[in-house]
Amino acid sequence: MELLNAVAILLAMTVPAHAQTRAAFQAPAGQKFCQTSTEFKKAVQFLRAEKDLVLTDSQVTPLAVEIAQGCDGAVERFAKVYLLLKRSGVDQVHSLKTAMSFTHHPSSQVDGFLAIFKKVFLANYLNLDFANAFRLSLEMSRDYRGDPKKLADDFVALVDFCLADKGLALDFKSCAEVTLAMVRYTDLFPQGVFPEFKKLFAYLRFDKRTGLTTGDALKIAPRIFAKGAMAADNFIETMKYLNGKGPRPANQAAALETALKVAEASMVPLSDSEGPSQ
Amino acid sequence: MTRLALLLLCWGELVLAASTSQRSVEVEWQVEPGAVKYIVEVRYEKGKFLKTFTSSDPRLRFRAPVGKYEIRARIEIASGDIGPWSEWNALEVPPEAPIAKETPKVAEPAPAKPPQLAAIQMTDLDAQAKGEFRWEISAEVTYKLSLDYKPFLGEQWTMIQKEQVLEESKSWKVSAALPPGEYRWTLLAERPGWTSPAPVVREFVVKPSEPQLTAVDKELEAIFK
Repeated sequence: MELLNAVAILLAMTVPAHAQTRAAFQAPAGQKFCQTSTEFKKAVQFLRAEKDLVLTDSQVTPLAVEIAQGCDGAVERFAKVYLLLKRSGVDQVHSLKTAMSFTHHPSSQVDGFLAIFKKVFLANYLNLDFANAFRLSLEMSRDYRGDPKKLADDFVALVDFCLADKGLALDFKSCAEVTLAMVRYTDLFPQGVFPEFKKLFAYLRFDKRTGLTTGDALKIAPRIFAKGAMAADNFIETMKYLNGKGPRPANQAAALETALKVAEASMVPLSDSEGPSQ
Repeated sequence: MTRLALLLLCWGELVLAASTSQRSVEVEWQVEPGAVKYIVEVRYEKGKFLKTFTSSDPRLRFRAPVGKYEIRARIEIASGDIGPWSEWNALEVPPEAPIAKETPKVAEPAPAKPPQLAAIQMTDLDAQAKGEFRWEISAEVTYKLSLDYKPFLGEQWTMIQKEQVLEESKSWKVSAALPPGEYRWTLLAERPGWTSPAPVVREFVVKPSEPQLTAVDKELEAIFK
């Protein structure tokens, strides 16, 4: 015990007392303290080290100040976006401006941008043209109001599944359409759309009685996912009931339509679910 | 039910038309392993359906009026399963270039045929692709090829290869070393005392490869470790 105390004292001695005080002190509600001098120095080092950027000190300083204003981690966020765009062949001015725009955003949005941009732009994934790839990547990261990490993870999983031989095995264009249609509903699911999508697709496509084509399965999927986290289960359970002990449908098309109607009621405005007022 | 083994036939991998003379169009593509039949659809550029062809070989010849078309294909394998359609790809049937008749009264050389672009498929090449420009060759004509570069979102083209003279050549391969960005190549035909009045201009895109972008992560690690 004495030994532990001694270690604790030793550790405390290695950190200046005033730093400990600052670290323990909380910023006013809704604000935070930032190590801007560290960010400024790192920004200057990065900008000077970038051989493609031929900048004078008088140009480096305002850029580094602007980056540092993004608070802790701003240089890393800036560098990630800048290097990715530079390596992708983007004009230098636009690379700088876009990277700068991420300095005030959380790291999760930067990571989302990187993950999504690679998936939509690279030739071995969705292979979109640059303009569309760039626009979509920004929309689904920097400009996204929900949880960017959940969206990026969902998007990447859907793309991989769509393109994979053991998944949907569709072409680039179809996968772009399918994925973009599905991620509209990411926020309605605790783990994103993908786990439910995979489950529903497996049922629609491979169930002995349902056995839809990929195209037909994809047509009805948005109707279900638009109604959130419980809709897929409601749909599958209703189908199983109709094909089992439930009222016998005229045919599978009628069963599908009934199950869809049940699933589409999986999310309703609160006033409707509460029933008519007394 | 056995899941279909959907085999993609990406048009971007095709080596396009070998000849479009006399409005006869010949299209060739790479052999797709397992394919017993190729199904090809051609439509007018504005979307009106034209015709469906089937072929057991990776080539197709048909006649079509001068104009702009779109073409796509898919394969059938031995089990009867059919793969998904490729994307629509542009196909142009150019007019037959007039062949100048030499007369004894004209001392100057007859104008040469402008370069006839027999085949171009230049969209979305990645850095590893071996894209190739091809055109029909005319006798006694040399070609000057220049290449311009523009970064994505950039505004100005920069000439990176200046009027390389290609004698007795009818193709030019994209170098795998081209960095990502937009490219524009211009082809001029020349013979003594005459230059083709209208150069042929085509644009293409080189995308980064996955390893190029993955290298960014390592670079970042090195900077911020």
